[in-house]
Amino acid sequence: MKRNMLLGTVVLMVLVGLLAGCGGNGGNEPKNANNGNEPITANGGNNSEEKEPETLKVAFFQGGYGDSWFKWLKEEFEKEHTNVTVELEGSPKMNEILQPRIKSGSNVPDVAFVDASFMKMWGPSGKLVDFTETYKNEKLPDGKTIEQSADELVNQSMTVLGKIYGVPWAASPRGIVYNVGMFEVNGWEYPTTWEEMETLVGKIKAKGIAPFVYPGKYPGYVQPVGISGYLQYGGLDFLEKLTNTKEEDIPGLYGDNAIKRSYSLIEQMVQDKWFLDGSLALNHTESQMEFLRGNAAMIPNGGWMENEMKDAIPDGFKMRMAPIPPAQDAVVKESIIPVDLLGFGGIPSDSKHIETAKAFLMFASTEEANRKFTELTGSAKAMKYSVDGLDITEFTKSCIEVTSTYKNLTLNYEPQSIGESPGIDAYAALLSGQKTVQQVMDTNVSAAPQKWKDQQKVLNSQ
Amino acid sequence: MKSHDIGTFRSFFEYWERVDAMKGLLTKKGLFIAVMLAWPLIHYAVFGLYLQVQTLLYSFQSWNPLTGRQTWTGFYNYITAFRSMNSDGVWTSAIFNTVLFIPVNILAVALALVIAILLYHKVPLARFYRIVYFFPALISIVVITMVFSFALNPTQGIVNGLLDAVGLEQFKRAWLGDPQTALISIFVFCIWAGIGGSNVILTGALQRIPHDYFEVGKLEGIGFWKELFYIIMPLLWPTLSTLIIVSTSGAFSIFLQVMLLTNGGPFTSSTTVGLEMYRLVIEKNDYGMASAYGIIFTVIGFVIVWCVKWLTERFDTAEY
Repeated sequence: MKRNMLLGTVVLMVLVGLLAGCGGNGGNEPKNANNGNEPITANGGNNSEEKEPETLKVAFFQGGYGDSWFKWLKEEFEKEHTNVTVELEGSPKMNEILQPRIKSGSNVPDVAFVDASFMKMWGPSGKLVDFTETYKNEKLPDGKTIEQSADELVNQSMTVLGKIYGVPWAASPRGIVYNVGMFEVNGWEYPTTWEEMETLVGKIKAKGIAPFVYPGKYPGYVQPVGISGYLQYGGLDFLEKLTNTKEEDIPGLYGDNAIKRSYSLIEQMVQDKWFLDGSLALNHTESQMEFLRGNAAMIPNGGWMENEMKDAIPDGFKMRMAPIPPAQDAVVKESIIPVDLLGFGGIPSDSKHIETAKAFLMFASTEEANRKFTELTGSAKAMKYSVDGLDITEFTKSCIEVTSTYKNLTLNYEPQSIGESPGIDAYAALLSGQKTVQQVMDTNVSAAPQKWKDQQKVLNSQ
Repeated sequence: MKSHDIGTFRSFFEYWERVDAMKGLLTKKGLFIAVMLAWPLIHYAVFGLYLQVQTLLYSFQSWNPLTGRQTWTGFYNYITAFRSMNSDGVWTSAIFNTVLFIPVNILAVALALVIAILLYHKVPLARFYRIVYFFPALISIVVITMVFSFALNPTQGIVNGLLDAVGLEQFKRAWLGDPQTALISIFVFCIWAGIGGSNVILTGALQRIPHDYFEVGKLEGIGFWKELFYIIMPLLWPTLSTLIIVSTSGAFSIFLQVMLLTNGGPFTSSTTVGLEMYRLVIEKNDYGMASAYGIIFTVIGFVIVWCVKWLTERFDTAEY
């Protein structure tokens, strides 16, 4: 009996060991005992020879920006921290992959560069290291803090309920990209008003070319036209109501003229056939290919597009990023360029090397690293830095120029707010031609009170 | 061991030696059985039981953005889910489309049966066609959806190209981007991709039917349909009914094909409950609502599958 029990125990231990091997963090290094007293330096400690060897696991979303910047970071960081080996893990599905790992605390990386929405998800629940102190007080090599090196809008986007959980990654303008060669050959100019846009569209159609193409499978690509309209036709007051909603704003907010006017622009684009026939069936790469083939003159897209399509861009093809122009009845008569904080780099609380991870994030936020990001990816880091002397493309220059020339717009919703369209996917409904502007607004107005009630109930739940 | 068995051993010591040897044998055998059983049991406990219990618990929780934690909200998710199913166009469309996938999946089984019979009767190049039909089942679903999507591409696709070539321009359209054809295109894809797997199972079952039945049928002069309904169907019914039940339950988990081909659009015209639940988790991080919908559709699915099972048991089957 004893022998059976002993054998049973051995079998159980082997199985548990196997399971632990499957779900464990793949390493048996002791948890870093550093209690945060060690100074954090962006350029690395000069006493690294005395330190124990460390493996810093860096997981990142490998989308339109590729992995070249992370390879450069690894190389440079390892040079300055000779005891550290940076292990990179990139995947286009990293946002999905990391969710269960962070939640369960198993196989957690030391640094994660993922979608910015995860700051709100993981930060307040204690799944991320509080980075506020470092963000606001630790100096980068140029003597500025990260807070001082980032734009005010970015600092706002990085703040979750008063705390900061990482460093900004990429910021991208999301506007209208146009085919420069086609415009030059035909003598067209990018419009400064919506009325000029209507005239231009007529000219493009007359040439037998579709004015626009967009990925119908992902209607959100047309969102910049809508949200720019909120500011252009509703002003800052409307934006404040939308992002920091009060109970008395419900449901009138969703029947506001700013929304009606913004959505009517999208309806006009559909009804007047501004889009390439068949756009509804395309995904993002297919629609971008149609644009690169010259089947459409313009495409609503972001700063990542050139890098994403780098293998497919024909020789000599030139494109530029442009803002959304206002119509004559606009309250804010300015062209608007929505800018999105596309990601952040944070440290999961279960990281084994928190201090080294902080040094890595600081290094990733230096001017040198920011410039390298732009050079390698053709996109802008969400920080203020000089791009002088960099070998960057015309498209990248236009992205930087458009964000510095025109009014930037970023929507940062407060937790109690219920979004821009609480009852229906407005862009999908309008772009498919399945609903009119009035139907979309009626749906939102009738859905808003219940949605508001539900949201407040969740916020008050313990 | 009974006491009279002791008499078969030459001595008392010999008896105990034998018992000891049997114990050793039992222990080794027991160890082997324990190891063999432990793995599937642990797998079931972790990936079956634990996840199901976790889903049930999640369905009574919501994510509070102020604390970043899951908090208990009672039946809130269920109430919201039923309200959405009643009034929200997205869920109404998702439920309707999902229910439509049941007959589509069963149609795929029926077509697989017809093809299996045709190939069984040794039509020329039968083996080649069997491989051709099975091909979509071998290739990754991501790759075959991409191939299908390319074929239906509105500007570069071969389907519109062929229509052009034969002078049927009026039928050209954005197959996956037209609310009238998007869902039908997905159905065609699911039938095309689903025939192969069922075909292999049915071919195997057909080959086990004694050939005498078909020969007698031939002597009696029966045609294809009589052979199908009076010989094949009764003999294949256990396999067919299993495939019908699996196809019915499969309708509730369809999402990848839809996500890759149309992403549920245009608007909500081709969405399914599986895709909407996936979106709740991946796009909105709303585990609570997704779990509540999961539980609701598990119950609905169970009732429908049970009804289909009951119906399949009404038909007589033949022993052979």
